[in-house]
Amino acid sequence: MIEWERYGLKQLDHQIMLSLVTFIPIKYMHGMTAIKSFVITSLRFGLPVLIAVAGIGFLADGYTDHYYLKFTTPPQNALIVGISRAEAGLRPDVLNPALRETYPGHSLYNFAFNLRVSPFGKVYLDAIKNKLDENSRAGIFIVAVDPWSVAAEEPGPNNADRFAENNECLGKLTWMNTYPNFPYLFNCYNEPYITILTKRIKEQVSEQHAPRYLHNDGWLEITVPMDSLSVARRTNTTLATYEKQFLHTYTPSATRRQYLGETIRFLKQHGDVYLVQLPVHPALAAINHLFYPAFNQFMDSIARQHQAPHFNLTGSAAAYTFIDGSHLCKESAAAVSAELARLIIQYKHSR
Amino acid sequence: MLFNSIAFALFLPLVFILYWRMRNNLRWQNILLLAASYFFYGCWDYRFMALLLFSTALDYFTGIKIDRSSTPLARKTWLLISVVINLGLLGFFKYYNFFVENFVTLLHGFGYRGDTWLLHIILPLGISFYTFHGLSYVFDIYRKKIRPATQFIDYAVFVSFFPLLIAGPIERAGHLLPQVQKPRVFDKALATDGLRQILWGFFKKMVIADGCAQYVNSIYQAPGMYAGSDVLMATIFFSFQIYADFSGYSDIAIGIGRLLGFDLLRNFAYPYFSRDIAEFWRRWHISLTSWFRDYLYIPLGGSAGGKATTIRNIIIVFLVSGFWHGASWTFICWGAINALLFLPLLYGNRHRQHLDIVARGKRLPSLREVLGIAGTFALVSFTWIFFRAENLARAFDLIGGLFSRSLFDRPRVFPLTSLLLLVFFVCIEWMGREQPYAIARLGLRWPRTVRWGFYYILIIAMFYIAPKTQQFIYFQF
Repeated sequence: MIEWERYGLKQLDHQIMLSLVTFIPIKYMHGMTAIKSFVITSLRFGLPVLIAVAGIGFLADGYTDHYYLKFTTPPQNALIVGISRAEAGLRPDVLNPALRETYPGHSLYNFAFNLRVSPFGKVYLDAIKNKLDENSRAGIFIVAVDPWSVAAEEPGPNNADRFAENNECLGKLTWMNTYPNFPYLFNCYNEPYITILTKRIKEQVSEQHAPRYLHNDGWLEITVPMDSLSVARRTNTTLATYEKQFLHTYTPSATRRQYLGETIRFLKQHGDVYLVQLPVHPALAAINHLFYPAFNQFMDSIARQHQAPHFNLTGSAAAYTFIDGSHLCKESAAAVSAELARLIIQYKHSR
Repeated sequence: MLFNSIAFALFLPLVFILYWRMRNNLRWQNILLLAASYFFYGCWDYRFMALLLFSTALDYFTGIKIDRSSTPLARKTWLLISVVINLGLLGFFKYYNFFVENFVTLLHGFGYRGDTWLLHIILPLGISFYTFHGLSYVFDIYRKKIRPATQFIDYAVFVSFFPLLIAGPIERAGHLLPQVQKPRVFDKALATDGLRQILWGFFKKMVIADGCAQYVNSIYQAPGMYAGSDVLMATIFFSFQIYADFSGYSDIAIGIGRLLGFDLLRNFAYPYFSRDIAEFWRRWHISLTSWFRDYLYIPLGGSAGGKATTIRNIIIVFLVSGFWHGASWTFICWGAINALLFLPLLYGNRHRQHLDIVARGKRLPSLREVLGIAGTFALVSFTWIFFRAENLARAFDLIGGLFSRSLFDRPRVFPLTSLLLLVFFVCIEWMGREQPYAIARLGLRWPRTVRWGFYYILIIAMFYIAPKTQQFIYFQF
């Protein structure tokens, strides 16, 4: 029997507490001694665990993984969408100051993920709808498209039930704007839960920062050695992956193209949509062309169809540096973002 | 809804509180259990709730009809209606594509080059389990072992009771239905024991099974990239993965049952401490094995018709058992191999020589027992290759890789943490082998702080070691 007096509680106090926790009215508590005692013991055992789990959840931050923070911010009024090239290559911290006068009151949020998580499809469109403030109007939306984001793996590249993203975080979660986001941490965080804490401790004590950090605006900062040997090694790995694997397993998908159209149509209800093709390494551009030779024509036609401006930056690849042939380094990401902001302002002024 | 999900962590306490709040009203308690079970099932796919309800209603009404029929022919007719519809549904959802695919392949041999008639069928979760629940009910009424349930809600709770619904244990009406029909009394000791069993179940699933899964998946996906020693290690790891996964699920289900005042059937009894294959099958997936014994083996004649009939019946039971697990030749092969391993024991009348727990009352087994356990584990692990492989070609690839010269190479991957955890796990299981589950008595005499410390270590391991959550393996069956 618990001696409640030791804790400064009277019998009635603990019944009130128990009633609050279990939603059982006090009048029903007579004769429930065994259940009460069981619930109290369970709570005494379980509360430290719950507190620890919750506490660790509150510590999750940009070092936790590449996406967590994107599920914790409130609904946004301006978005960058696309795959990992956009996640690492388009910087809201550069775009937003430049576009402040053109789109007052709007702040771009990078809601791009990667090829497996956010190719164009129902899952991504639903996630965008979830992330976008439904009352937002006259906003700005940058839609980064490349041949792979409108492609799907064989077999069944047009069968949405079999798309890989159905089993990824965007497909599994409906809560996208909650802090802390425990459903994400329990269902989508791919490492042991405690690493949320250990990564944070490591980051506090270590002089070397983690190579990837997700900013509050959704931009993924990648810090890796940029000496020519390291870059060449990573580029070769990327090219080999695309050439030996993706070229054989992916096929351009009519379903994804259709959803790209629906995504643009939806976003246009909330503001201006800009279609963007980000630069990639020339060798990867050649693979992209081999994979989808008519991609530029497709982009032109979808831009015409939806009356959305289309900025193709692939021609200026030589001016930028890539981490691995596919993703821009952070300095080049800043430069591309600045160039894109200039093009958007120029376009707006021309109209 | 998965047991190891945040949704279930909220669902279970809510059901527990509401359930015991209604403790003075059996009818409302059962209505709550039924609603909770359908909600639990509907969280996966609400469309198949109708199928579950149809299957339940079918067996409920055919059960009454069998009981009320005055002639043997009428009784048999109603039984057949139930069996044909139940197995028809199971056959359609689970086996249609398998049969069509193999039939068309056969036709190709005769020059047929037409359509394959394959359908995109979603396998309803738990259909193999709730179909067997229902079948056992009508069989037992037909044999006059039980009377039909008078209340539809009681029967519906028996079929759809949420801890059992997705992956068993496969209950019998004679065992569970009377518990549904009479008032449950809260027993603190039983509920505490239930929580302890749930904790152990989660540890098995999240730490042992999911930990092994990471290693097994990477090697089984591309065995050609690894040495034979890696394939051997992955095969051993899979043995632990499937045991910890399924018995972990069963522990959680039985523990939840205890929280709600139910005593559910035991499903595992330390099968990897078996000294021969026959003992292994008395200790592995007990509720399914005994189901096949009672409703297939014995009706076929059991061991009553001489050695040849017994052997035939054993082969049939193992093949059907394999096929029950999935519509694939790999499962049929798995069943066939198990039958082949079982038959020599049967032939030599040695299949019932190990009925007791190994080394009962002793701390360590004898050398003979160690050899028996190791040999049985090796044979069982070999059969799991067929169970785990996506197809027969991959199974033979794995066996080829396993018995190659690189078997004696140093493994390319050496998961030391997982190995240490397995050693810890085996030690705890060995110490608790005379109990219903491994930590049932462990630490009960320790001071509460020490005992709780041990439980906290298990919980910390779940958060510290447990990798990405994997679905329970038996959900696919």
